[in-house]
Amino acid sequence: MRWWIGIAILSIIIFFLFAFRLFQPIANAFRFISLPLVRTASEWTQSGRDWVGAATASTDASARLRCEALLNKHVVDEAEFFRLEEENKRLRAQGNFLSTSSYDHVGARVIGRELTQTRARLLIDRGTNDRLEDGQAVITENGLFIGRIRSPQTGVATVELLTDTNSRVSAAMVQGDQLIGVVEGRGNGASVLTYIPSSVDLEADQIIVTAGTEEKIPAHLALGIINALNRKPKDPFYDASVDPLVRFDRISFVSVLRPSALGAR
Amino acid sequence: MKLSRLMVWGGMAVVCILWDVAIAPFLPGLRWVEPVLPMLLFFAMFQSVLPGFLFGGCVALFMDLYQLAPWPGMTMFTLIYLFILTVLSRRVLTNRSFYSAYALLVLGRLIAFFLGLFSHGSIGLWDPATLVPMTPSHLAARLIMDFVLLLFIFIFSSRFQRTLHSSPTAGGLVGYF
Repeated sequence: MRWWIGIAILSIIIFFLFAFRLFQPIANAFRFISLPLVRTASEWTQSGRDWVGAATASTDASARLRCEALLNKHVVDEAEFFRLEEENKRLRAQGNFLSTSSYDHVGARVIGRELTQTRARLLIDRGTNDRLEDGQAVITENGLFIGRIRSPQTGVATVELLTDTNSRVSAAMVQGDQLIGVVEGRGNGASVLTYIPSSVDLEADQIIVTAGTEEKIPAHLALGIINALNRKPKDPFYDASVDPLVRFDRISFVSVLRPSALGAR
Repeated sequence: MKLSRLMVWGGMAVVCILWDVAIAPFLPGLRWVEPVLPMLLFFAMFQSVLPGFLFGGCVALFMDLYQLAPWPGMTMFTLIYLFILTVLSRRVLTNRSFYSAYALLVLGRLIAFFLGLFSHGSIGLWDPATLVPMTPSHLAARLIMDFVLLLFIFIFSSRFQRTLHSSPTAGGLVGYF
């Protein structure tokens, strides 16, 4: 029975090392050793899946993918256009330039993914050694906001996607800076824009963007598109379901926005 | 312990880790295939205790490292499961048949199911964000895939085990059924 006692003691030690974050240096060393292998495996898996997908995709599926790409580009262009318009107005009014380029970005590869009923998370191969911090905005390569950084560690970090049940992001309409509600993740690939004041008139197919009220999330990043409104005449607030602009199961590369001050070494 | 055997076990551990962390998440059709528990079962039933704990502990620890969870949930679950598995396979279900192996595997899945359900539903001690409750349909899908995996492991291991055990039921597939 001695070995049982040994294993029990070892388990308790591991648990407490984890709980009090004393395991961190050993964990970092393990991750440092294994990360290249994990990265290569995920890269090969994604390449293989894409290759098989491309080889078996029908003409309709290819056309749909092209349409999705065009739509995404249009959405980003539109959001960017209104952002520039707003900026222009502000510049004229204030007469001084408020720099909107106070963020730089760092590219990252998706090495793990968890899309379940309640969780929607990605694991990326960048961490605290790349100046990643909790709450930083994560966008796709074409500028669509998909989530924020959670639990960055040495070499790796988790991205909490918009549809994760813990995700909350303040949203605004693409025209104007007014905060119109909070996009809450509901799991299973769904998210809902909640607490929309009844004075705000939203319509289906309208694009919503980040409001910029969170500390590390810039404004005017395209968030999603309004799908259906759940509105009752006497309620002070109403909800709207939001469709993401990107398929989370297809993301291979992302960019993390970090304040320039953090990016500069 | 022979070096070649150690290398085979090490290789299997690496495959299990990579499968869980970097391969299965990108292949939605194969997400129900989870080889760790059937492998643990194999170690508990047909090998000595220490290799099973070494294999299970290392694989689960790496999984926890890539889950970025604040507590080593997978490691704890694996060690508890291995303990129960070892006791049951040595005291109760000692016949080493495919059916008893599958019964132990079902037990493991049920432990995971109720741990997730219990902790997620009623205890605020663990961070709900780090727990993924398994639904009954997920459990059923895993059990079906476990059956296939276990069958594969039995067929595969029979090629290597036949010479190691004198008992006819510990060798080939025919013996297990």
